[in-house]
Amino acid sequence: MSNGPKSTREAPKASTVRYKAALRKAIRKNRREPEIDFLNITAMLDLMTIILVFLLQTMASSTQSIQEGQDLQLARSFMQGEPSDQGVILVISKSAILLGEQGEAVVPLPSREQLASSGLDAKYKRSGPNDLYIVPLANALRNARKLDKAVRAAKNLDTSTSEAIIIADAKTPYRLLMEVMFTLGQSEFGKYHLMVMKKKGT
Amino acid sequence: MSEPENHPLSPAQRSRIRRLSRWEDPAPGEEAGELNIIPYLDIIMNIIVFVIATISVVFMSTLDVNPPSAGGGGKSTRTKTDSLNLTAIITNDGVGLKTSSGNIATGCERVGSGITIPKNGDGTYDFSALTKCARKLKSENDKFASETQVTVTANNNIEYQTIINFMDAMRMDNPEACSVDEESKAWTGAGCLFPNVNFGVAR
Repeated sequence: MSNGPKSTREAPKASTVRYKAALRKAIRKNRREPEIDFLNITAMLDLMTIILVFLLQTMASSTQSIQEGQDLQLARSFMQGEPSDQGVILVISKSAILLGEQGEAVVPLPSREQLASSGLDAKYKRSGPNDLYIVPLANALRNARKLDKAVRAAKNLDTSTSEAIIIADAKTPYRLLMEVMFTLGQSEFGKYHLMVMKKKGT
Repeated sequence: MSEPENHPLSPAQRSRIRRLSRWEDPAPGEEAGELNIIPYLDIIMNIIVFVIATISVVFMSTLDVNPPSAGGGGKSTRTKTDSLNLTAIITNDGVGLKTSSGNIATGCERVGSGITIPKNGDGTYDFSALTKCARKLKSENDKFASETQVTVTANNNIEYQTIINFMDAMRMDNPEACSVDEESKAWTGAGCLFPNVNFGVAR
């Protein structure tokens, strides 16, 4: 078969330059912006993970993350201010007095009846059962005061006294509270923040 | 062979241009893969709920107090004899108040003997009566208006919660008119009663 007659019927072609120009023009005309039908949130998830880890770590090391339990029930107060985070943390639970953020037990506590009548055992006191000075607590506070003094100096705060955050069980007898506060006062702690749970009302 | 000149596009060329310039959506395989974040969000939600349920951050506050001193002195700045010098003693029978004039008798009307605010019939402390009595004592003389300190002493067996309730009752009787100054950290306002508490130890 011959192609001769077909080739003779073909329409005359435009030049290559014109053809390419027309092609570019048609491509530009038909071009569409790609639709964004999905969101790349990988970077955002990275950020969220970092923020979450940061928050968890901050909360874990905060004084405000006190866990209530059988051994420690905080007192309720109408006080509505923000809790202070300045100071050495001292916890008076039902079973022991604990010091510092790590909660190291300093003095074990006897029954509530004994505490309410004469306070801690005489063996923990400086000069007999009527004394308010708790020797093991004072020894532990001496180290805490030394550390807090350096921290306050670094923060340009008054170093003559330190502050203490007292987290006491709601049923703590007044006698024990005074013994602890008296020992704090004797250990150069001049201001106390009593931690309470807010309750509604006025 | 010379290029054709000034000829219009042939049908074959137009057809080819239409075919080549047609916009085609990218094939599914060419798109960026979407991340399946549902398990991740499940974990995040569980952690957030756990954190909120276990950490009571916003529910806490602190009350600032001064160190106690034996004999009920406290870190008091009151020295004038014409000041109120309010002292409170929390006993198992109620709250007794004492001023420079002497012990306040039952009912908070005059100086005399007895527990100023006895306990209610059900054995609870009458803290609303205590607040009213504190306001009455503070209003007796204009010189007392600037006094904000009270020294508190209690029986050995009085619970810490009772002390806190006492401090709440003595702090203010009008929360709208009593607040802490941010700079000086001092309580100011006409609604304040005795927000600065000094602890004393009875001997």
